[in-house]
Amino acid sequence: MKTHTSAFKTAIKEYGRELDSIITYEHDTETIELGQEELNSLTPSYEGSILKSVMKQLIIDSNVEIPIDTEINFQFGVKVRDEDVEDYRDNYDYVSFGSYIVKETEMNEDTLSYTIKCYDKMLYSMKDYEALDITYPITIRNYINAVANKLGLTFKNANDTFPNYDKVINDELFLSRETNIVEEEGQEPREETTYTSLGYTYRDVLDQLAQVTASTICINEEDDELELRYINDTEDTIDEEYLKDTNVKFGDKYGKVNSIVLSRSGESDNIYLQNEESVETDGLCEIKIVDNQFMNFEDRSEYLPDILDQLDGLEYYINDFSSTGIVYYNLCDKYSVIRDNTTYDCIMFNDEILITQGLEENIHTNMPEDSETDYDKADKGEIKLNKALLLVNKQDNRIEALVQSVEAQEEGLGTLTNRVETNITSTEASINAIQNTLTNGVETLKNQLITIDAENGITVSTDQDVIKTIMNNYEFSIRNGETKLAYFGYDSEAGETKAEMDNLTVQEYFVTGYHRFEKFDVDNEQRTGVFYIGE
Amino acid sequence: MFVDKDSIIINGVNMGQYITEAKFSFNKLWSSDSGRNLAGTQSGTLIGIFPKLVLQFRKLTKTELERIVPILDSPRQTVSYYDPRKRDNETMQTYTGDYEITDKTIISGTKKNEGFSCSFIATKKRV
Repeated sequence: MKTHTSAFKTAIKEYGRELDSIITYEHDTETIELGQEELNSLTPSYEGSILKSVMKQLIIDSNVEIPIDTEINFQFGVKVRDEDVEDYRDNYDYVSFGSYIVKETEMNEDTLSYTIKCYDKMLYSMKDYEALDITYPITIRNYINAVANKLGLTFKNANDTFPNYDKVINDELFLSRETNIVEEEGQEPREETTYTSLGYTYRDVLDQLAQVTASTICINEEDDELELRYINDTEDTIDEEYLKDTNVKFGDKYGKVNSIVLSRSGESDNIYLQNEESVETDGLCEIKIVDNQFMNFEDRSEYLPDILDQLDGLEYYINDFSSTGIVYYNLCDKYSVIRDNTTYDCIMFNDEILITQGLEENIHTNMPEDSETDYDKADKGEIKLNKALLLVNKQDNRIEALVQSVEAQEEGLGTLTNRVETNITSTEASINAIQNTLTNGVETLKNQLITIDAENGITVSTDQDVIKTIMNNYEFSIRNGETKLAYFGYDSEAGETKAEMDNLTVQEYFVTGYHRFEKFDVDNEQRTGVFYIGE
Repeated sequence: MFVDKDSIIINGVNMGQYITEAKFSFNKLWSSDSGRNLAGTQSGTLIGIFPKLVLQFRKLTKTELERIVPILDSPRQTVSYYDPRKRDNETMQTYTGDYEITDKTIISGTKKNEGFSCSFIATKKRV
């Protein structure tokens, strides 16, 4: 919750409440304060959920223009006292909404006011991801700390333990990697690795880190630090006194969450971890995490226990209601609403506060998107059961297709490799790679019997066989080693087509030159004749 | 409140000598969010209290009226009055309402215009 007084909580719902808003910022070494005279309206808002990063927004209608990139601070107050004071604000209690950065400003010609759009410091993450100043391997916690430092932020949880905080990242995940041998005169050849963008932003990376840490990543309102925020049970209850008499909906209950699924390869490769007792009692409620780069390798099942620990049992009511104004709840606060003698446990994920001459607050929590995992085809760990799957290795620009039997030591493998372009987004790279394979074929395909390569074309032969069949654009031949047992093709040395074999059996006839050799019967006598047929 | 002859000063002019009656209104302005909440309880935001002063002028000579009218016609006035809540003289910026002057004879010499009233409404809420 935002820090607030009990007097604030009482006064905010009273008839005849009096409101105040303050925007402060520095401009040319001077502290500017905008109040009721300058501010026409303010609308702070955010849209969030678990397992993602959230950026808060503030839209101001002001008679005074604030320069772009200015850092402003916003406070909202309610009159709680009626004492004879010199400064009227001494009779008000305020809550802080934190700092915002001015991103856009537009003049309204009709009202001669300015519409100013601001965002909190999560705005700093809306830029292309670049290599961090770290060495691998590195823990998740230190990695997040490095990301925060790169954005000019302080990581609030730098010394805390949280889900998967100690898991290790072994190499760069969000840049394409190319290693070349560099040879310089007088020096030993050395490897040089260069990285190019895969189109990720730091915000994308934070979204994936939110999944790894089973949290919501946001900017803390009090100290502007990057925070891994978890559901905070405020134990606070509001009743119908805080609700408007229109647009009040409390619907289904979501949860209890009892299954976490990690999915990759076009959602064809799933592993999961469940609270099986809860699944039995309460029914399955899964959260599926798709294509997370941190949890994309052989160790991904190790991430599941911490995530399930954190989210197991999560439940809340879906809601959509307009309030006369609460204001002091924060993102991820759990609170209760009493309506018609029924208590609804809710979590604050989406909020919009309309501050004009009056106050209105619109709150809603949506049902998360349904995911359906075919658990018959999913695993509890990294054991592939007669699987065929595609793994997209974005960093090395490679797609690996694996077909592997359950007897893990058998190597009945077919592999294909192909190149992908390196200067496009990871999603485009995956799609283009598959399209490229479908359109242009592959350079090499091999299984137990057939090998396709650029040199010979199609070779049909097992590794144990001596006899093999070769087919390409100029020959079809059956060989014993290098000896041709049968050959049909074009002899480029002789410049002519040929058919060669040790034995040839013709059932009916064959033509050579101007003659035809053909079998026929005369008076039940079987004969073979040579007949002149001409041109 | 009209507590003494100097209680009402407008644009530096003491109105006490020109008026027969002063009416003080303290009007509440409510926001559009006012109404009843889901519990049926009245709720809403008070934008503020905007004082209003209605002065009933006595019959005025030509000279006296010529002194008053520029104040009444100005777009903004500075009004000082005694506020019973503050228990002190308060100053506010106001705008005026319409007013009418009735003459029942030719105004000259000691002849006077008929009495009339005019309102002075605060532009900002009382703090």
